[in-house]
Amino acid sequence: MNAVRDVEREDLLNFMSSCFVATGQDEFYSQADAHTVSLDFLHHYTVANYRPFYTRMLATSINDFNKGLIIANLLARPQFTASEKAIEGRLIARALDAMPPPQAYRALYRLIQRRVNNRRTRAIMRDYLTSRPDPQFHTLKYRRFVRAIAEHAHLKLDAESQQILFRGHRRWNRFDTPVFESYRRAHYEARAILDLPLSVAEGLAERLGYSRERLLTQFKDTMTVREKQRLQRSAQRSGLDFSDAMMTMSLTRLASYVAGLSDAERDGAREKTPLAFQSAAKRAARRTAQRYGRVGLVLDRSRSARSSVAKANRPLAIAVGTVALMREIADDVTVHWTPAYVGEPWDAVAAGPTDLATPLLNALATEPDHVVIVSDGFENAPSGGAAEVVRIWREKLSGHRKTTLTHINPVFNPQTYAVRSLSPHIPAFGVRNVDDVPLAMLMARFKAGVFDLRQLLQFLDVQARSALAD
Amino acid sequence: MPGQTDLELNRYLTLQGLTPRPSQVWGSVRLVPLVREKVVGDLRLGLRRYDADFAAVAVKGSMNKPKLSYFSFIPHGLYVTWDDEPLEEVSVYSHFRDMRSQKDGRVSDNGWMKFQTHHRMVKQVASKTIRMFPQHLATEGLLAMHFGGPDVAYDYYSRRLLRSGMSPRIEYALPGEEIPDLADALRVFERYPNQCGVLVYIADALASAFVVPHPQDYGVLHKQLLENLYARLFYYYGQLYDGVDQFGFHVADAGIASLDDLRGAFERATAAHAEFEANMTHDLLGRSVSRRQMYEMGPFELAWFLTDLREPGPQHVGEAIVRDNGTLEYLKTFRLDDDVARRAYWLDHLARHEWDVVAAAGAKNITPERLRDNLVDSGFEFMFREGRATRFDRPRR
Repeated sequence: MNAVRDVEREDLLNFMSSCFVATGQDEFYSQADAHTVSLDFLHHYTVANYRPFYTRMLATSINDFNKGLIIANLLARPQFTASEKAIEGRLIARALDAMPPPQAYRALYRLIQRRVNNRRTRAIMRDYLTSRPDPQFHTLKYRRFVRAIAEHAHLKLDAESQQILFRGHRRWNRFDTPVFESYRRAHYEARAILDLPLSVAEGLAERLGYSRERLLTQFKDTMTVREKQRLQRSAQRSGLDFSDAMMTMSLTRLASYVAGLSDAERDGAREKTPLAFQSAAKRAARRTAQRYGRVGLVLDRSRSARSSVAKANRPLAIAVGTVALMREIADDVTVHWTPAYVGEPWDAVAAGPTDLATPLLNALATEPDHVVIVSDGFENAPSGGAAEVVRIWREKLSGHRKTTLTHINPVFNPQTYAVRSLSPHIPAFGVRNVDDVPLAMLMARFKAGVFDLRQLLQFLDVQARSALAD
Repeated sequence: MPGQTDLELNRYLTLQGLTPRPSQVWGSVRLVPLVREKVVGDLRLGLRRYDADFAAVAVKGSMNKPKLSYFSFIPHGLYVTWDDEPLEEVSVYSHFRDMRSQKDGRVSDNGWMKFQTHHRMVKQVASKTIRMFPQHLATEGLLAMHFGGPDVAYDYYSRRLLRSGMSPRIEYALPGEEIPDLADALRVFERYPNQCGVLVYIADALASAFVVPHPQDYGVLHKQLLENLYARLFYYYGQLYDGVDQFGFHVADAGIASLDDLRGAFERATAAHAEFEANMTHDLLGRSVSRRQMYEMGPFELAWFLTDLREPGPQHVGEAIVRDNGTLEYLKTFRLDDDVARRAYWLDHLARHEWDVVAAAGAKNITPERLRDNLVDSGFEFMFREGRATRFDRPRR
């Protein structure tokens, strides 16, 4: 019986861990198609065997890509238990609401592609569209998605939305809805573009002869925060300064942004960078109640931390962000890089081989309460070095000291349907967002067998309940 | 032509000046990085790319009227420059840029393929700078062995052999793109800061060894390993073995009482592990080789070498630049397919006995007919007057 429970616990934790990291994109060591196939299997396996657990994953902070897959898989399969059905419906609606709209639309579009067209699906689609605070704006900005959904779910939209969606612009008449009317006029008149949201205006700007600079200058005040963050470098080329946007970025986004800067740009942002990291870390720290004592960080900045074009520098960014976060929520933090590096974490550059054993030995020498390894798990100098060090340290040296070891892995490994683990002694958990590091450290305790399956399910149930109670 | 007298046998190749580090495995490919302890910087390599589809190198005679030519697909060449003082990074960069803007050989384009003609395998192109074709230098040396044919016109040799020697001598090899997993292995390889070389194993057989004098040069030339030539057998090896294992890394835990002990044990185990992986090159390093000096550059010597064909096991051919104190500065090798090695072996054996088949067979304790069959089977059917009907008991003409 215990063996069965262990298998179940491992299945569930591996699935959960994968849902935090996998995004179906290229990584350094594997390609997107391998990820898609592997994830597809993992989701089918889990929904078939552990459906209540699978549903409750929507209430955790797993990434939106996997939430989208979960939603599609749940809606594609009938649920006959009334109580579960109600929970599923509410969790799905809530998850869609909480996602950025492009992700939510992509999740719904996946259902269209899979030709799932049951009553539940149609109701979810209808509710999502009607509950948008500004439906006209969505109709314009996500025109392709809204159109496909309206078609698929046989939605009755108002007459003007129908015209916008299903007719070419040459056949449009004057609209009463102001934003639709601006959109119509913007096909003929450059000035009308200013009344549109930036992302819609961008599409029309070129044919109206708007330069990039003029567009950014005129939209400077109406841009959303995220748009400013995203367009910082493009704005810099046009002589605009959005560098204050750095101060509002989340820790992961900030670390990724800084890792992508050229040397000159980095020098330019030198004063602001430490402040930005500090304030981002403070905000992240407020979101968790966890506090740690002495923490030794073992961080991987080997070449593979550059990841791929699609996820440029993501593993490095997680490492850098973890330093900043830990400095806020731990009493004492020591940082050990591989390849060895001293200096500000945000100036680290990914290059060289991966030797995790040496920094791990350095970290253990400081007698910490927690050792956190941030690495993609591809160790090669030599492979298996960290595992040997930990084995001998556990057998001979650790004594009764209660040092916990956690391996935080920012990369999904499609071959094993989980993140790559360094050693059975070091529980590994996937993290794609620095905010999830404390959660990952907790989950690693589940994985190490400190807590059992019942407690894990209980934990998830509490999460789901509190999510629905909000 | 390298006659027998040019060749000297000695224990020639060592990895002097280089330290192996633990291997990096991807699929069936194992790459063992070689790190240089002391980088001097008075010898540098530069890359020259060619876009011709096929190339000829005039090995003898002028470029327009070659007496002997080497034909192959040659995607890139190397510039080698040296000085008495360590060279500055900037001047090396600009020097190689000047070299690249120079015309090299002659290109003719007939509309559907580009054909390039070069003059000499190794050629001085500027003061203290030569241009060479890596690996092709080595294979040309192999093909040219005993190329002229017999010195004595025994009547059992065919007229073709007596008239034009072994020409045309043809061997086949594959570019790295054809070797399974190699492209990915090179892409995901994590380079060491002072790395100056790599040993390429495919299914744990040494396919090529590559060493350069300077880490910057290695950075430029790393991906060129994909354009190198590889023995055909590595295509099959790569297909047959879809993955080689990481050798189990083990730290001896006896007598460890503190973290410092553990650190010491770990470092010893790592060095031993890397040493072991580098020692899998015993079929190349420390072997006796036939060697021929190709060019002398101050304290450096560029030489062609071929492992002693009389020893059993895999055979390698390559070129190396060695400093006068024995430090290995440049190395590129090419593992021979077994049939290629067999052809070279029998030819060499025959040449050692002045092309006298009866004497050569006697030395091997076999009949002359058997020796003839060996040569014919390994692809030299054209050598003998009546093919398999050749007779060796007739009086000499």
